[in-house]
Amino acid sequence: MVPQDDASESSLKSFDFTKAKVEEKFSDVADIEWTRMAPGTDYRQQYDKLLMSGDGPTLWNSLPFVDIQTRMRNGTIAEITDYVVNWDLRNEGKVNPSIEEALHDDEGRWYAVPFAPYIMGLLYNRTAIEAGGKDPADTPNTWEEFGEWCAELTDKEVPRFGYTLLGSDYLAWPYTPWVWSAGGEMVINNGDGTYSIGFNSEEGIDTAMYMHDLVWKYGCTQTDLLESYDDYMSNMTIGYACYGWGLPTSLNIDKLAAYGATQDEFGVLPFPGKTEDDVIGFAGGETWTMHPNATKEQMDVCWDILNLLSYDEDYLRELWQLENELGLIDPKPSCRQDLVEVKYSYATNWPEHWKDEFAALNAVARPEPFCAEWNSLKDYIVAPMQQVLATENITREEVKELLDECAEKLYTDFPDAFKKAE
Amino acid sequence: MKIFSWDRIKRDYLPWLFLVPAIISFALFKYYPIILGFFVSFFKVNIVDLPGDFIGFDNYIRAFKDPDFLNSIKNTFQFLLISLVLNFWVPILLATLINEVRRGKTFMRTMYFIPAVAPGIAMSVLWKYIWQPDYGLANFILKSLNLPVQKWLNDPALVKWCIQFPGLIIGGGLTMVIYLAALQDVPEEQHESALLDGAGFFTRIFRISLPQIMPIVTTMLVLAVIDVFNMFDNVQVMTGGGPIGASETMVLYAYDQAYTFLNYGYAITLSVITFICVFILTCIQMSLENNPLLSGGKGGGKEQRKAIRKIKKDRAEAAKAAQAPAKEG
Repeated sequence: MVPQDDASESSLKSFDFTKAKVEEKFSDVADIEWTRMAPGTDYRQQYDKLLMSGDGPTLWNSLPFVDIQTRMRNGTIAEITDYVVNWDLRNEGKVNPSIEEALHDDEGRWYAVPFAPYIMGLLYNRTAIEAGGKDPADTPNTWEEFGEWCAELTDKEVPRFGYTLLGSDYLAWPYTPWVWSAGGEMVINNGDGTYSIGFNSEEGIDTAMYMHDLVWKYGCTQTDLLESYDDYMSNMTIGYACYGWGLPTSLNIDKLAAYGATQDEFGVLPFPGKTEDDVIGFAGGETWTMHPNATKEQMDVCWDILNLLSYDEDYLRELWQLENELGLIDPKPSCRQDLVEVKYSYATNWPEHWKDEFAALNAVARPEPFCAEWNSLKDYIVAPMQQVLATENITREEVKELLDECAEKLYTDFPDAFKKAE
Repeated sequence: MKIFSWDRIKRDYLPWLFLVPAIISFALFKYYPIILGFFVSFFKVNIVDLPGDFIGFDNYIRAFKDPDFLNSIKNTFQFLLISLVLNFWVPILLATLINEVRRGKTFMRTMYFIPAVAPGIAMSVLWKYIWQPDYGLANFILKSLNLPVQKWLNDPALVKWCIQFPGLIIGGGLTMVIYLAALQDVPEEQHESALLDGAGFFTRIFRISLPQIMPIVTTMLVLAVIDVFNMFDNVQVMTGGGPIGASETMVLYAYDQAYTFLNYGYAITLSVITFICVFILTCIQMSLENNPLLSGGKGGGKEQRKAIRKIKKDRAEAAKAAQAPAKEG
């Protein structure tokens, strides 16, 4: 996918390198077209619009792995079983297996392969924390201590918030690891292709109440729950927030420079747990998929291209070298299981503390749930959670009622995906 | 008689020729998508193999059972009400007042119009930051005045007012200029005659100016209703439909159904329902336009103009009659 016009110079250089490599290796393929996302659209809109217009991409590397179970059912991606089961690299154990389970159905039919697995955790801004008189190294790892810690860091006149909440439509993304850190689950596999809802369990209610406490008891979050993801990240970049959700490499380098900040000021930790044993990290990732109507000949070429871009050791080494020079190398584990450490060895320009932090986060990271209609669930939970966060005197019973109601709605609206456990 | 005379072609067919590009554009980019929308609303859309499976009225039945869609209808009507209270009459009042100003009318008109030139999205983003509860301008002003701060867009009770308020400044200037142009078309003699008859400011406004611009007011009302039913960009930018669905409009909900839930057929159905709502409301308004009570008399003030003409004629005749004996004498 072609970067936007306003992409950083570094991103454009990295893209040019990738494009040149593909065009060099596949010079005999005359009609490779690179697609750009229309400004203001997201990757799902873009993909569906292209499909509807009959001009869908033959190869696409932007669908998160959590979309695959839904899309394999609605027929918007191709089955690629023959390629995957006969894939030497995978059979030799060299393909990152962390999200494999999400990429095939119960009958063993494959629809995607990993493109960019990632990890997320408790992003921190060292400068903001130090301005609040604390040291990020001392960050507590239990809920209660963390809430008190954030309350002490908060000064709304500055403004400086201990923890910045995502209350908009992205809410469920960071909310999920908080549920895990209470020992709960967002969804539970029923073993028959359906899932039961877990966010309304006692642990789920504990989590919702804790989020409510961060807002009202500890008073350590921003008031605006409707911030977009960009605004949210800006809070971290500018230093309005001490802690949030993310990864230091997700912060826009140009924006950091504009505010006189450096990557070194940021770091990442596992999420605090309800108890010390429950600290947790989060793993997600995008995949390679193919057009559902692609011909065998097209799919053969696509398979070779994706193998070059995500699994070819020579290419990857060159890419990491370049990305390190450009300040772009990220902590996403390589799709090549045998090259994860090799990739990190190229990251010589990372701030000293990152490698240890990434390793610690990786050790406790869990993949995002990937059941069918997972994205619908994420959207459904936004309104009840906003209600919880916005209502000062809400009781635990009322929270349970709201979450139960949301769960019931999901069972009713998506009976093929969600079913109460028997 | 020549059937194909150049004059006849010029008179009967040439105008159509000039209209052809517009007709084709409208047919292709307006009516074709509308008709296609109606058609697709009866399908469960499969984006790989359009249009998908025919499901009859299932999407419509689902829509009227969907509490979130019903909530978005309620929100849209509330937005409409707020728009009428907040945004609709203020430009009329402004135009009326500016029309009375003797000096600096152009300056004032320009000052009110300038915000209308700014891109709507940019203004929405700007206002989103003005309403920002933690470090926005609105709360800064309240704090400076020692008044309690508000949550603005985060408060379900205030959110619709906060979204509509910028419309007063952004779109109000443009609307005001349209009303002002209409007011300036009202013949000055009518005001002068009324003044001679001892009519005060409010009498002239309510008996002469407003009745005469009533057709414009009705048209602007139709446009205001259409605008509210199509509300999307400012809501999407400022709240995304939150908090707790308090600002979710019908179009925004349809958008979410399409791009969040991939329910394209259902989303189109919701758009069709929105279209039908606007169509019905517009028909009602158009029929009200012909109501003498609401249009300032039959034909949008015709009766009143006729009455004024008669008064003038009577006065002229009276003056003539008064002069005649003097001449004779």
